[in-house]
Amino acid sequence: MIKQYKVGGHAYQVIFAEGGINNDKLLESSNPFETEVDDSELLFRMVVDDKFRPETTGKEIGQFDSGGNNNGVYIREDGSYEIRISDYFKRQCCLLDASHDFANVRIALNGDFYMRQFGINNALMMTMAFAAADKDTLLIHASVVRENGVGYPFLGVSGTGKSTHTSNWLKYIPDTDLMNDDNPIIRVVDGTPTVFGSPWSGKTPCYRNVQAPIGAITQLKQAPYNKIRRETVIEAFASILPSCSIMKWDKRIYSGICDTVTKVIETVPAYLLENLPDEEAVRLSFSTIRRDIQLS
Amino acid sequence: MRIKHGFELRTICGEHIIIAHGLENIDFTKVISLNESAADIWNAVVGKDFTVNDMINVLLDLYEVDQVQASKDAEELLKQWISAGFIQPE
Repeated sequence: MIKQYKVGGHAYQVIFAEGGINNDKLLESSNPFETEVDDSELLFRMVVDDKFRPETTGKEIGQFDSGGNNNGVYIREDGSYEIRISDYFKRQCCLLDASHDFANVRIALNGDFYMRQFGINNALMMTMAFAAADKDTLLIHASVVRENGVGYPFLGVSGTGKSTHTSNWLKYIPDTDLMNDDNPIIRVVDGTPTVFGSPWSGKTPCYRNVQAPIGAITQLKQAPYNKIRRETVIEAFASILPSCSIMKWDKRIYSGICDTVTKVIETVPAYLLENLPDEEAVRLSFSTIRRDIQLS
Repeated sequence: MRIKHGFELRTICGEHIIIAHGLENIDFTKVISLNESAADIWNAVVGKDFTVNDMINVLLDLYEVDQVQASKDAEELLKQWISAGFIQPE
């Protein structure tokens, strides 16, 4: 079974090996993104085959926490990767093998339906982030609302209240909708930083094939008060970069992502919002962000 | 001494920052800001062996400062670079 999807304007193909138990039921959240494209347009190809085992593992780079689950990363002499993805209960659910540029990926899944679903979706997120890293594209940890055709991503470490803040936008600001609650794509399209929904949205089922130019990027920080200010370019760089999926030892990926973050900061204002989880915080961020866009 | 491999000067909207990539710098997660004269010195010495005198000479060449002030500024900058962790001694 072969499926094609387009996320953030990038097309990719998922090929389920014949005779296996895996199929596109694992990718229900990708349904809104299904598409038909020519092979020449593909950013990457992923083969899903539980029988697959790489010949060599390579050198261990490290074990990385990705918001509660672990990814073991190994690199071979030729720059190709092996990544072992575990779930929140430390169960290995996916073995991923990628060419140096993540254009050709093979995965083997393991465990029950939920483990497989977790494994393949995390494999896809990583592959998207790293294959598109040098193509003006970021996979970013953020919750994004849209108002009046403009997207507003909110960043922050897990537990900061990103989802709470954006759900309060929906509650208190008319005509707003949620574009994505956890892992949207940001891509610079013809010079315009644009945010895209994706099949990956954390705990909130919000898998929308939507896009909007970005109005402002806001870093959230919990505080016993509400206060907002514009970040300097250096602060903006330092707050956006750690929110992106990145591998800093890989020059193509690291440079590409730094270049994209730079392009975003050059065009879009960044704010720091120290906030309480309340209506006043939403009124403050909305009025500040909107005001600045209307001026520019 | 040298600037360690993997450290890179980038300019964003006219501001200069130092970031690090590479496996050997995996624990370097800071973003360090440089002013204009520090960025000039960086560009003059990056990728080669240098001494504090080379740093002083950059200041003397590009700015209207006397020897005493240039030495003081270059030594202070070098101290900061060493403590930030991107200088590899001889």
